[in-house]
Amino acid sequence: MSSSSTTTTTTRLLMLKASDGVTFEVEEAVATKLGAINNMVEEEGSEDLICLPNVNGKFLGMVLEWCKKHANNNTNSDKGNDEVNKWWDKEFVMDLDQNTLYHLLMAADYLSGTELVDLLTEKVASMIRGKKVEEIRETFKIKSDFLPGQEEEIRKKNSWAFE
Amino acid sequence: HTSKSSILLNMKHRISEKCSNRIRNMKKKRKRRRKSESYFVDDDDLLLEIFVRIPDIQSIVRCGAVCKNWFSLIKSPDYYHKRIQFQSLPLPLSFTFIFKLKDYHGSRVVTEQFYEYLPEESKILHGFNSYQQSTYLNFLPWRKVRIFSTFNDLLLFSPDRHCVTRLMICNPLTRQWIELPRLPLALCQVDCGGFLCEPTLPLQHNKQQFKLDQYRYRVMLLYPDGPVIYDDYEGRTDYTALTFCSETGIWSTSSSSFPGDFDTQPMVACNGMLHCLEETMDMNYTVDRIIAMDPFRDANHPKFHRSIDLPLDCRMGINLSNVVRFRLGLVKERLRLSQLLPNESAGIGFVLKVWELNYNYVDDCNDNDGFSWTWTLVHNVEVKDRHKLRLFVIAFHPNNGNVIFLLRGYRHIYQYDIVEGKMKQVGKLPDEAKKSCYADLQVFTLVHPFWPTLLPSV
Repeated sequence: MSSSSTTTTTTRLLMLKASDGVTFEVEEAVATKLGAINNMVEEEGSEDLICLPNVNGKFLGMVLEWCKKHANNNTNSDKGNDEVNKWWDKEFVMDLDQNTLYHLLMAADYLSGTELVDLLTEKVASMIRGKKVEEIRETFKIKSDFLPGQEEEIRKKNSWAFE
Repeated sequence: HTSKSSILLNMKHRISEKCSNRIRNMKKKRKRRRKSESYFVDDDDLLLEIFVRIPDIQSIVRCGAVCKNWFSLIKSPDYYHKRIQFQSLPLPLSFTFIFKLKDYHGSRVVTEQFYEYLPEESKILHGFNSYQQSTYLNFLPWRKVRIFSTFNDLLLFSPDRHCVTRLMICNPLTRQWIELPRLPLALCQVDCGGFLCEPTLPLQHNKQQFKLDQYRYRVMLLYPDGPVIYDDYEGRTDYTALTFCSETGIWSTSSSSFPGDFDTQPMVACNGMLHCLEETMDMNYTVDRIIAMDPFRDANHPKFHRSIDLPLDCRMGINLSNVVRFRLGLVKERLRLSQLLPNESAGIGFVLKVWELNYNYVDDCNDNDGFSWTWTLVHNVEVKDRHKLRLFVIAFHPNNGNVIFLLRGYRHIYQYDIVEGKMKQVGKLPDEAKKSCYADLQVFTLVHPFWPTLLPSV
């Protein structure tokens, strides 16, 4: 009935379990930055343990780190927040190697973390910009599957873009 | 009603069952992910998200040569739509202005210099990070060129400095150009020139890449044929039109006589016709009317050129209808005319009027030759501006009818939002611009379609 001074700031906690069994205890406000988790919470309406069999613990951890930062920064309704977020995002993607970037992007997409997907696709795009075709293939370990002559034709048609 | 501390204890037995349900709900959208040996992102939706974030067209075209899937994605309507959405810009995406300045020494033109203004989107499209002036056309092997006119993202120019014998069509974004067959004669005085392209097949506009040979096009140069003839104080010039037809690859000449003189501003291609302002020969450079030429007809055909009277509500008279007060241009592929005058009643500021031309298609057996038009007054504003610097309209914003570009004090380029009344400086011409006369300043507008127009390799 009249309980409470203790329940003032009820930050609900959720348990997230990655594919490799690693679990994370996070505040609901943080986890719901991820569309997929938000849906689950809304649908079910109760606290729970959520299993995420497609995301490895390492990358889930990184995704949650990002969520946490953004959830925290967004609570202070300060104007400088956008700037802080931008700066922090820049740091976050700065030194990601190709492998981590790939897995992180897959995890963010899987968890419907729209803003994080935006950030990461932007990063990938910046890695493609200004590169030669061979460099793009090398960076992203893509094999050309064109039939003989097809690639030459594309290059010839658009020779201006290949210099 | 479980308390937080007991979540785990209470839930453990339900976990496995619930988790499997959720995962099923969670990822309905993984529709187009495919199995592939390729290591990198193989989800088409994600790839498109990446591609739309690559702003310069050169990098995008290169992506198309990486692998089959990337190629088909970049050519897909999905990419096109996503890109438009992402940029949230109206089409065409961007534009570039090229300014031509003349520097006189006495009455002799000493130098002609080009300067360009690229809005932010245009810089991004070109892949320019930092931007220096006067470098846009530097890829051309000729030190000096004469630009006649533009059509979309193509530029018509001659590398000949004195008498014109060669004409080129160039796309400055792709840095390609082609040479048209030599002119049948060397033209030492060309008053104006223009060109006009029409797709030969009904093509889905902007959704695919155009190549010049998918168009039929006409190039036209007008040159005075003999001296100016004066009779009864009225001047008259006989002009010859030299027209190139892309289907036959042949230049042909035919004479036409116009009562006036042509303004040096570039011709504006609209509605299948080339338009230019015609000045009277009274030495006041007064604009009289607009001449619309149809280069798809023979120049001897009676319908080859017609005149379009200026709007009734534009102000005429010495100084008021001087050619520098008018500007012809395109907004969303429709012809617009502006008149900017000093605000005499207020003593300060200016009055700006903008009209749009509507072509009415009537039956050919009508009196009017099947040709009629009306002007619509789109803007009529009085601005009490405290600056006393000279102000001229230099160009229209090709996508936004409310925005116009002004030149102030001969050097400063302003973007003016007519409806909101907002004036913003966006660029500056170099110091030398002060020496040149406004009437000699030519502005060419390049409008870049979604994919740059390709020129056939010669």
